[in-house]
Amino acid sequence: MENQVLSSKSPQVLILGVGNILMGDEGIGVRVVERFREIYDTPEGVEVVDGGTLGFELLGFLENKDLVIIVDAFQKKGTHAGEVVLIDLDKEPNFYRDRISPHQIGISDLLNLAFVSNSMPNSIKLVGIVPYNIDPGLELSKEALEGVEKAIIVIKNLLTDLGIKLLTKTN
Amino acid sequence: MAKRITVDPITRIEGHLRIDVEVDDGKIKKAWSSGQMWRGIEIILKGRDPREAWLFTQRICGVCTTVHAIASVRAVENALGLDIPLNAQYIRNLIVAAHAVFDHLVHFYHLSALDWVDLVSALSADAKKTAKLAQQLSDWHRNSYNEIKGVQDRLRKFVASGQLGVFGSGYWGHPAMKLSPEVNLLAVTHYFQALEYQREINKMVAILGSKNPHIQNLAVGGVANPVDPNTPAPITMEQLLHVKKLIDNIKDFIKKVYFVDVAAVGAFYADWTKYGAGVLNYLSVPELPMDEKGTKFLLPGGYIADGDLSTFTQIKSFNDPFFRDNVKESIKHSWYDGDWNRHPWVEETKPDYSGFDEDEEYSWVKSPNFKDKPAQVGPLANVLCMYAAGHKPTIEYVNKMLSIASGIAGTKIGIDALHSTIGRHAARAVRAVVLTDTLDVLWNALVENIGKGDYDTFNPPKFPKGEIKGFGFHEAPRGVLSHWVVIRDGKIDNYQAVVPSTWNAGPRNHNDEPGPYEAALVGNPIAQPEKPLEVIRTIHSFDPCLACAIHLHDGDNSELVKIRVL
Repeated sequence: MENQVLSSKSPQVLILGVGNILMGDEGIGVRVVERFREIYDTPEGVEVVDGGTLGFELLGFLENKDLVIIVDAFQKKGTHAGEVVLIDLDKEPNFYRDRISPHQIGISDLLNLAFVSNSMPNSIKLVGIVPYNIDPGLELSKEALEGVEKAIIVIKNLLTDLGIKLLTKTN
Repeated sequence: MAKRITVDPITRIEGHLRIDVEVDDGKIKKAWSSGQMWRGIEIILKGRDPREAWLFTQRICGVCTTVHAIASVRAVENALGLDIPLNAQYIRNLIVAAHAVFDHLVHFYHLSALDWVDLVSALSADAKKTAKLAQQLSDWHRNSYNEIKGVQDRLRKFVASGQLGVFGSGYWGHPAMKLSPEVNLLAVTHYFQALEYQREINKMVAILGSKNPHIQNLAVGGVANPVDPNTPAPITMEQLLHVKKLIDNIKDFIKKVYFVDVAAVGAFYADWTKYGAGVLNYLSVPELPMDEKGTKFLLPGGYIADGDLSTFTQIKSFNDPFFRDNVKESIKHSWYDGDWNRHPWVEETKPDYSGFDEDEEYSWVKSPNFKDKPAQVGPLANVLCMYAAGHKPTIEYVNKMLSIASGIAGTKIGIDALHSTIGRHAARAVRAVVLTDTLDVLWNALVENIGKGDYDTFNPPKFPKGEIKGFGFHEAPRGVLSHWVVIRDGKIDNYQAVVPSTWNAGPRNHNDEPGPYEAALVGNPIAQPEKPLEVIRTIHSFDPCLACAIHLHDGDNSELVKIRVL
């Protein structure tokens, strides 16, 4: 269960999209993951997961990862819909723990349990996209759709920094 | 002077539950339960293909994905009168049983044990004495001094680095914490071990449901090839042997650790058998169907009125009119347009928010009723119904639980003690053990049936012109879940999900009778109004989870739990 330093050549990465697809832009993290799979072949060492609103059941996915990229809807004063933020959770380890809002208890409990059970990844980033509309419905807003494309670029850059090359799907 | 306390939100996992209590003379006099989140699934499903409904319903809630998928396919199959191949029933049952064991285990250790167990006190425990106590209670092979000492050292590191917050509770040192340091340390040791075993059980569900991490293999009419081409082919003998191994791995932990810990904690907190009863009408449904039509079940279910086991009425099949005709939902105190008490097939969902007003409307949750009365659902209801039905394993394990607890408490604890806050934990542990035993039965049934050369897993559904109606129920970890569907010309015309937490967390009903949470809180002691641990204990004993939606990151400061004392 210890966090091992991995000897394999390719870094182990998890791209975890979370959110509720029944609530419009709230499900944007999942939509980003779907879009990512549509555009790119999944490279070796990378796991792309639609985490929905699951909590504990995602624990296993965090294990033995060099980098975990959580993609989720994000709200903060002064941001505008469709804006994409990259938050380094290694530098703000208490981000989830201290600022827990009712909206993120699933993920925060998940990270707490990962911490307690020594399965925290070496590095965690949050790619947050500011939603426009979180009413019941399956469609994303125009702003959120633009946010999806921006988030894909942010993720691509994070992978490139690790030396992971993305190949566009051929078919 | 009466004091008013508001706890918002109270769930540690999904959901937005607000509880208001009025405290006088150190006791709760009145309580209100309010769901602060609206679920729009009914609207999203209208006009869709009924074969796809389960893919959406499993997104209602992050904790109950599998159960909403199961209830949904059962509802559509019921509307069609469709038989399900035996293999498909067995595979679904294995998923259902394993998922429930996972859920019960996690609920006890990781979502509610710290309401009773004081982490900080465990630091001052004598590890040798703890090991001795542990070995008296159970012959679990990891109740060793070394294991226990190791956990205590680990805990010390968390405290030294100021990281106790990761345990998510903050009630250490509260006057309502009564366990000795040694018992606390023992419970914490098992908290860590449970983290390993819950993963094993989850692996089982993952193999059987082609989970990734959502279940992929369900279909109206049976089980199907995975929807996602990245997942491996569904069931091979190699996978079944792996599942068998996982069953064997978890069995001992459930029986020798979880079950015994709950009996011990219950005995040490025997005073909590006096609090938290509330609504004594108990509803549960039969589960683990063993035939194609859903008329023979491994676990019985039914209805008990007024806590009197002799009133038990059994629910006999997936098509039983006793269940079908007696479920209604009232919206008198909920934020919906109108004022009615209706059967789910004829409900409408028109939100009409008007703010929290305890005398008028104060919740998004509707108020379900059975035979026109509020009913408590969940493992306690299920265990009492199975007991009343004469289900042998349930009777055996209830008696065993009560006998262990009586031995530790040094006084006889009878079955009436189950109608309580601590009794709900005891019943959940009994149910977990009963379900663990069914895993072997189900596994053998599946392997035997395949061995006979029956490879059927799917009966294709055909939708007629015109209107058909169906209902599907499931005894989920949190209690009775039912989905109700009206289909017209092959499209969903109306869809309603009556979920366990709606039964338990519902506001006052059409006759102003309080729901189970509200009733269970009345009479609970409150030692410190600013730290209402007792409220949390009683609500957590129901395993609260408002089937719900949002978990949006909030970059602005906000507190986990707002407690307001007025």
